[in-house]
Amino acid sequence: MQPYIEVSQLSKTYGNHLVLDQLDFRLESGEIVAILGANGAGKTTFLQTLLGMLRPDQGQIQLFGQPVSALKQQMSLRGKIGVMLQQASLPGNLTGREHLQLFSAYYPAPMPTADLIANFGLASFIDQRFSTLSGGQQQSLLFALAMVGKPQLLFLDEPTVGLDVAARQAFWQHIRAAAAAGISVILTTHYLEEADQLASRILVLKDGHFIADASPTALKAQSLLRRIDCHSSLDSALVASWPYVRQVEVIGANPSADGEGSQRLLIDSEQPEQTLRQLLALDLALSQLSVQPLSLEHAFLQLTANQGAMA
Amino acid sequence: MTPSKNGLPFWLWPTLAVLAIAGFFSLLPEPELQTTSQTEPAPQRLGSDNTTNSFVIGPVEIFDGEQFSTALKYVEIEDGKISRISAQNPAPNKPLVNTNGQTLLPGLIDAHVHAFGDALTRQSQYGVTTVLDMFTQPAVLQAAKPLRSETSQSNQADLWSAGILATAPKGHGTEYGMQIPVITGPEQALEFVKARKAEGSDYLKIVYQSAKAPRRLMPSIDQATLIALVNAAHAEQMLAVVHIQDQQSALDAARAGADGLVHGFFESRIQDALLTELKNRDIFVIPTMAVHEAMSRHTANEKWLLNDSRIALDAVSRSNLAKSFSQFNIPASLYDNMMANTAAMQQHGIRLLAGTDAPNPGTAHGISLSVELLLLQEAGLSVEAALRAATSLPATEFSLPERGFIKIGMRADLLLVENGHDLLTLTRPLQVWKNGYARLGTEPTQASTAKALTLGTLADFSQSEMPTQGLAVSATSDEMMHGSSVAKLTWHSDGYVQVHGNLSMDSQFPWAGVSYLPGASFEQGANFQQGSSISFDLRISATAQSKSASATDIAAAKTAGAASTQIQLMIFTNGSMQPELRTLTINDTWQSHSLKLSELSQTDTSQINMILWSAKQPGNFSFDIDNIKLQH
Amino acid sequence: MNSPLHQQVTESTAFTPWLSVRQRLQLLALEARMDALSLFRTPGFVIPSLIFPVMFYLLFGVLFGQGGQNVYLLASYGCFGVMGPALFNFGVNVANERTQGWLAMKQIAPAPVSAYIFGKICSSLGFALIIIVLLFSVAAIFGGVRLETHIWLGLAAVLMLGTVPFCLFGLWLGLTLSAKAAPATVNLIYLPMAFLGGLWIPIHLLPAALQQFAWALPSYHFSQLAYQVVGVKATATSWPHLLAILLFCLVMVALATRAFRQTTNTRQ
Repeated sequence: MQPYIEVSQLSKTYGNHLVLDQLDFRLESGEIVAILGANGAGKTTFLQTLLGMLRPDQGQIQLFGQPVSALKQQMSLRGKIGVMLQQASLPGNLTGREHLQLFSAYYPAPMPTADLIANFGLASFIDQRFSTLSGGQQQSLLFALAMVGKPQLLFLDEPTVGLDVAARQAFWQHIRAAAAAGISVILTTHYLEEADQLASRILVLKDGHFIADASPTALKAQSLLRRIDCHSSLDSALVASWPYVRQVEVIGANPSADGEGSQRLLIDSEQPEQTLRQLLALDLALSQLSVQPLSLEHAFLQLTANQGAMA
Repeated sequence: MTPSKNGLPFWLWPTLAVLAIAGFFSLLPEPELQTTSQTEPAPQRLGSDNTTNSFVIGPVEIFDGEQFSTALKYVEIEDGKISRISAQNPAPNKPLVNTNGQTLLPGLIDAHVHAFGDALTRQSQYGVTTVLDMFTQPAVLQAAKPLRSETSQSNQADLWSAGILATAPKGHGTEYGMQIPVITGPEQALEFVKARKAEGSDYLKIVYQSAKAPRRLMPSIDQATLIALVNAAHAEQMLAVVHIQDQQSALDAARAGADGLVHGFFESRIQDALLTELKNRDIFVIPTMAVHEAMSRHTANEKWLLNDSRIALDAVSRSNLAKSFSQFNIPASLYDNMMANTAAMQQHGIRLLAGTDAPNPGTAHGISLSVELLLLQEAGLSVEAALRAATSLPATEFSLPERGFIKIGMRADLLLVENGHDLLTLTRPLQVWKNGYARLGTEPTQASTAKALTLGTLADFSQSEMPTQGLAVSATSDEMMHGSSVAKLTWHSDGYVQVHGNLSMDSQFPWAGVSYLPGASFEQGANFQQGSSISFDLRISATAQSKSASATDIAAAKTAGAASTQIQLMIFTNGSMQPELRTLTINDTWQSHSLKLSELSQTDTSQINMILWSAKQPGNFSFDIDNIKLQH
Repeated sequence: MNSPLHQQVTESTAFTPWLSVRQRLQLLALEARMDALSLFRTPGFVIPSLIFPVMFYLLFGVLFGQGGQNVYLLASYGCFGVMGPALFNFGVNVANERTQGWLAMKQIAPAPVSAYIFGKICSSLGFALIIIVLLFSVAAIFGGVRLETHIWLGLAAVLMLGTVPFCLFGLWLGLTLSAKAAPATVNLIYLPMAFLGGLWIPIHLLPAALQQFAWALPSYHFSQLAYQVVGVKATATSWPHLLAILLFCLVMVALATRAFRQTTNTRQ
């Protein structure tokens, strides 16, 4: 089986800033890949290069076994992909239905407009002009446009930026539905949660390299850090000075509990057992203790921090 | 979108759109069709205010008589004279004729016309504001002369004239029926010229044909008389111009010292000898292309005038332009000689002046000068050279004051056309100014000058041969043009007129019979448009001189075999020398003949100036006429 | 891979057409319709584009006119009127749609660029037709203009065809300018070009140097062709103007093509 995307030795610079540095990447049929990275990490550049919108300085990109330049001539190749560009916007004077009609005309056998409206929950606003839609409605419509041609591979560039929680979760449902229907997805995001929720595989892009390429669980496991959550009267600065403690966060004083300036501490430690021993030895009144594996976001922050330290 | 929601076929909307657009364009208004012959076409009649002769026109391109201006300019006219020419409007307070880069020309000069009837009015309609007449009655000349220095409002071209021409007895010029003095020998020359000068002639026109010329049709003065006439003219400080029709005569005229030749010729190609004479003696030539073209090739009018609905042509001009000299049977190819001769003269630097010889057959006053210029262009003159031939050159050669140029101090005789570089636009003047007064779009239609006849009897001869309406009924024959036919009238008290005489075929246009002048004068003519037909009764005169002749006399006449004869009916329109013809058959009983006005194709029924009934078969004739009526 | 959403069509090769002829025609029609809809739903475009030429004609041709100029002004303001929508629909809207990413979306979707440009040309022509209908009506009713039907049609045809070079000009501007800069820049080009081309006041009233300069302007040649159709005096022949306009079109096509290549390869 041919990989949907195959990238080798891809490099791209802007000025003297190396954005992508000799990247290798494959996307197989059925994969949902999230490219995770901070703002400005080069996620969008990577995606646009994959789409042939940007010309790489070096390296090969193949889509469905064909060089990406074939996109220019081959309508059938373009027909295999669906794209949501970052913050793309449509002419505001046309209604959702009109946009769907126009896009449907680009494909020989598009999804019926009625199905699109039903599948992506567009019914309530489909006859409003694009400019009057909320951010979530706009993104839903753009997603429907990406799906008009029944693509095999979806490119989603930061699809939920600027959406509120409810809208974002609704949008995730669309992506999950597409994935369930067998469509492969490559999406960029700087929301860990999004990658965690959707992706079968996460790549972390930093300083032009993929510093991680794993499933969300593997990525999380990769981290040694555990978070100790407790109420304690210990000075947070003291705790922070202990070995293996990476970071201490103080979450407000809680006078009603013990009356002695008890506070909630979030302690990130590389050796939680060691740190726990010290905590319990010094604070006999310590309460509400829990130890948890770190969230993906923390794992990501740690990874990037380590890489930063190495660089 | 194709199978739209409500099931309408997809082609419906485009079809409706196309229909709507087609409907819109069909609704857009078109110019009024110019169906009547009198109206001006004039899509844009600029500056038709004729209440003042002080105004500004601009911005226009100017042809100043010699060349086109390089930039658009404004021309200020003050009291009928050009007072200023400048790049910006020099007098914003004056009325502005606001043009848009059209071309302003000096009023044109036709250097060869025959001005009678309403020629001068017709000429100016087409921007010809000055004409050089080559033979007319001294009275016409004397009447027109004072007007030349006027700047009052006028609808007429100014006239310069040779007056009576110098020709031999029965020579060319005598055939038109006017009794004129003739010259038989050189010794009479000075006296002859002095007489012309006394009559007011501006220059002397001499008709000459060399004894060696081919096809000598009419008598001519001899070479000695020619030389004497030229010398006499020069002694009297007059120009001597010579009518010639062939190369040999032209050579003789040149050697005699003539100042100009008023015709070209096409019987042969021009030879170096003549070219050299013309050049060395600085003689100008008026080739009169238009009339020669009409005599031979006769395609120009058809090509440029008759099929162009934008050109204002009344019925008279139209019928004149359609006429040719078909009776002469001149081959069309001779016109090639004409073009070659004109081209050769142009190349040798001989000054060519534009003249039409209107209103000869195939030409019409005014409009034919455009044709002349187009023909000069066709022969190889540049547009500027052609325009010079009708402006500055004739003005200079004939010393016409204040004319032929657009310069400060010149008379505001002006012609505005769409584009002076395209001579065809001269056929459709946008405006003409004479003495600074707008000429077009202001004048009452010409038809109103001719008196309208009322329905009913025109002449019933109940009391005398005098008509009820109109000037006169009189006998007429080619005697007045040196034919030998005779005609006489006898009024019979039972109320009819007998016409009798003898038709002799020895002249070019033989006729003898009776004429009816329906207008208050011959020149005015009469308007027949109140009715739709003219009727009259004709019969071959009974042998007895009475309408109440006995039955036996009539029977005798019948058995004698005088069963029927033919009458030539001629209807003359004002300004035209050529009548519309009909042949009628009459017999010895009264018969009413009716002529539908609508069937008269060459006649302007608003200005008929003569109806003439002539015998057609040679020999003695006698017929009776009665009851001339205008019928409903 | 066997899911109902999935595309079941066999692999197309580059040689079998992506869309059938009928589908392609429908696409062209739809692009034109959508662009026209979008255009007509922009009052900030529609109102000035329709009002200005008609207003100018009424002011200078009918109210303050000296008469005799009505045909000339009809041709002038006709040119002026149709130039605007062409320049703005392309110049400003292409810049907007390019900046918005709408153009990029179409380029990644199997949407032919030609259909996009075709749609825009159609909507510009449709708009020009409306201006022509309005202006002709005003000229016929208030300006007393009377022309033969074939001249009315001829003038309309020249005005319609004459929008094409300005569409191309606008296309180049739209591909070059940012969305923010486009409206002001297009105005800065449109109005002086109309004025210096002799569309507001007759060219010969301008100083000689400017009259020479007019030769460099497509608006001048466009108007000269229009004058020739209605028979108001123009320069003697039309072929130099036709040639100039063709040349202008070629230059604009070349510039637009280059700009298009650049915009597809350097988008951030």
